[in-house]
Amino acid sequence: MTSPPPSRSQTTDAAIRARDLVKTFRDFWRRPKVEAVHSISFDVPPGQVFGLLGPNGSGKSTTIKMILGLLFPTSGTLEVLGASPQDTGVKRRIGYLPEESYLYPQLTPLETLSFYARLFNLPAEEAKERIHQLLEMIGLSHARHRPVGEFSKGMARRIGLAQALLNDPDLIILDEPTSGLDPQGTHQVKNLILALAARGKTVLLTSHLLADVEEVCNEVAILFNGRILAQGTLDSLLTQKQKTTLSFPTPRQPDTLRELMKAAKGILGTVPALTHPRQALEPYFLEVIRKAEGDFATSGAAQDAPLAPFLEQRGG
Amino acid sequence: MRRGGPFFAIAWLTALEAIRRPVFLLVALSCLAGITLLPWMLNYTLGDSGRIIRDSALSFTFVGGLLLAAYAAGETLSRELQRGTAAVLLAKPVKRPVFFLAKTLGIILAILLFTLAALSATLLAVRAGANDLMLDRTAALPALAALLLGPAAAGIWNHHTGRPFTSTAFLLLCVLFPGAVLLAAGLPPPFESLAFAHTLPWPILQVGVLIFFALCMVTSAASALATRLPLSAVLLLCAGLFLGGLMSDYVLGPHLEASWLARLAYAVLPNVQAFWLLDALDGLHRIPSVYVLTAAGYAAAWSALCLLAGSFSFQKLEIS
Repeated sequence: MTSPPPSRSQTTDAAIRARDLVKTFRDFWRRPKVEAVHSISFDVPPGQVFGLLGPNGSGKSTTIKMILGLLFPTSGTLEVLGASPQDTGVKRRIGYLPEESYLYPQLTPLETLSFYARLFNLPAEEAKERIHQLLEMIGLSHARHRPVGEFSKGMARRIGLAQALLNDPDLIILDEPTSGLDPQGTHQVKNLILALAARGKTVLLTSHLLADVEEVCNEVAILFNGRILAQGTLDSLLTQKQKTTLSFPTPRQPDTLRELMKAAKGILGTVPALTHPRQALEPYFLEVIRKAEGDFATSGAAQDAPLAPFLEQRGG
Repeated sequence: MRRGGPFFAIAWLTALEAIRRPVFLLVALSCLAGITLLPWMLNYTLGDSGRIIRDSALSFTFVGGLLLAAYAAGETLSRELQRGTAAVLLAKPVKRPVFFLAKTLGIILAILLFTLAALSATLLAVRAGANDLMLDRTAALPALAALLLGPAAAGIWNHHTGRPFTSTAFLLLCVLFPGAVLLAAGLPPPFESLAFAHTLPWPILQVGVLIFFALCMVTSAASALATRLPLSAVLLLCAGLFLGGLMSDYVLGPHLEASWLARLAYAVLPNVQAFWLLDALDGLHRIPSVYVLTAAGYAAAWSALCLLAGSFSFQKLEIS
């Protein structure tokens, strides 16, 4: 199956532009072993949240590693922020959260973030301020002197997120950003993604949690076996135009509903489905926890911290 | 903006990661304990105890340093690649040669610290065992105190502050052993002839510097090999390479005139014998500075070639 054409015209300044991208892994003797990505083309428009979806082994991580310049495409072209992915100038504008929290276990959060700040040559005072703000934002200020090797997966994930945002990037690449996070953390990350997008940042994310993707992404590409099978905005892919939902408060008199159904059947010719809408579990869970938070202290990550001010200031 | 920020940040982190590994402390501590305890263990050496202690202590320094350099350099790269931290790091604005060279520099820094501690221990051991009949306790006891105090203080510090035990213990040893040399220099020895003011064995320090050059070569070779090979293969190849270099004069020497293959192998193999001048210490008062400089030049050139090959290999490496 050939890849669908990109959703935007080529004249748009895409944050990421891939054309006929192929990645073949070879064995020790340089013989082709696996074709992980098969001639994919897509554009990630600036200021959008773009989801790269697919089952395990579909080529998502390989594509991301090519975008980051860690893997070299076998053929095809790839432009990131208008330049080659190998360009260190471009990498200065990218933030990357890998699928696993790859951190130095002996370093504390403070040391970890200071180290990454030095990689960006951030002036000492600015780095200190950003680190402070990010630790506040991810709710780990109280654990800044503990080695990250002692952290839970969710806490390590938050440090990973902080290092990805340290340089106030224009393009943020998040590989399974909510993996290992509790519902509160997941909610916080989703809010963060939306807040960053609202400030003009481009976000490329992969996730297995389709409900999360649905909440934050403007556009998605679905990969399978190294090929893009579907691509477009969520509205264009998911709206079922042949069905309509009508929502209104439940009438006090049971007869009203019966009359309404009878009238609808007369007009439409079929009996419409009648259900009561159900609240989603996530907001319900968050509400329960929010009520309990006042009563108990936690040694884990603090919740509901505001966005780091330096991320607020620079947005477009 | 901080100039050279990423390079020195990676080098510093690499050195810190290296000395925080338990194996690093274990090997370093074993070598230092071996050197410190030499004068306590030797008896009836027929006037040769000074030479035996000196040769054994420098052997500990060289073999221990070789193990540490090959292990740390091999592990730091292969482990970073395996653990995924290299991927995160190279997604930042860090050029691959900068990453590779900074990693190597970090290991060399850790090896320099080990060499300093081992040479301090060697100076103390040589003085403590210089006399066959009487142990010079003014040198032996400060050395023993440094050996025991380092890990003990690190343990207490770790208990109270949670600071990592291994790096703290190693750094304390690196401070305490030179401190013990200074202390011993200030204490009156049992025989006036043993006082450091008269007998500080400078040539041993010169040999120590040469050993450090050889260890830099090991680090460079191990780093280059680790860009493509797992740790076990790096250790094996380094051992083979430097054993070959140690025997190159004996094995290849007679064939150098006749065979271009022998000349090529002789040029490629690290000539470790050039850095192992223990025999020269017996006859010479001091090793000529020109020789030390020439050896430094050879080590620098050989290491540079290894690092060039390693940088090229790492530039082409796919980080998955």
